Amino acid sequence: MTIAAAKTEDLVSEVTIALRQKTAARKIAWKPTVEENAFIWASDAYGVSIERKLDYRNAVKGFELRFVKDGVEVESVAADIPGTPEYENLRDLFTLARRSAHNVEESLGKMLQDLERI
Amino acid sequence: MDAAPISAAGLAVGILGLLVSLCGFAVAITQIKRARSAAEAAAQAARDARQTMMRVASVSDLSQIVIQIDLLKEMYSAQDFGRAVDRCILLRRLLTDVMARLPDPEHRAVLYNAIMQLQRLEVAANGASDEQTPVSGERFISVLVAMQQALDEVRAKIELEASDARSEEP
Repeated sequence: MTIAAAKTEDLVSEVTIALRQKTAARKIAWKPTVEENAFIWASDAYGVSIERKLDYRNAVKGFELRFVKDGVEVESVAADIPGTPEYENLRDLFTLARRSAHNVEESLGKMLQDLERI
Repeated sequence: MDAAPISAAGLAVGILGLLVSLCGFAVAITQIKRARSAAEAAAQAARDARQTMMRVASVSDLSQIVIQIDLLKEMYSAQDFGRAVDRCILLRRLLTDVMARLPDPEHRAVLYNAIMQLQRLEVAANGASDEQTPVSGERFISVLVAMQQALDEVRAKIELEASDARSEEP
């Protein structure tokens, strides 16, 4: 691997971790897309999408994070080996993005309130 | 050699000359300041006019985009995925053009979101036309409705800013 490629991969890894932290801290809000297993977040200059890949039996095949600038995909990272740090990072990010996009905490909070009233 | 004594009249003429020079200098400075502020005001007016034109163009383009999304909804409902993909590409180009004109980062983020959504719609439509991915028509429509609302909100805000700017004009 060249030094330039290693540097890009390090940056991608750092950005992935930062996205995970900011999503967990509710600093960024993801949006659902037409695909059930893909979510996007866009700032004013670039965007990212996280997707869970399924196989023909609907079993999880892996995760893919894409970076888009000026409407063009500029970088992507995919992970399909469970247990590797890349896979765990992307899986966690996907879970957080899905919760953010569907306002899961609000929905569960509301559900809990309703259940307490019953 | 002794210098000639300066007469009172000569001194008065000298002082008068100096005063005239000072007055002339002050007048020149005032004129320069006036010219500079007039030039600055003209430049500001040109900037304001340009911004107003940009806002008007953005409002018009966003209105067109919102209408085009209606057509896109019809295409997805009719499962006309080939034409829907072409329309998505066209809309992405239009949104990129409008985005380049918008200075507000929040407005730009809404447009970028729409661009990303259209990309996902293209992918899903391509999958649907190849019968690779089962797609729900309702899901296409709900994404497009949300996009339409978000873009229309941005259009309304820009229109409001333009009207505020016009009312502030002297």
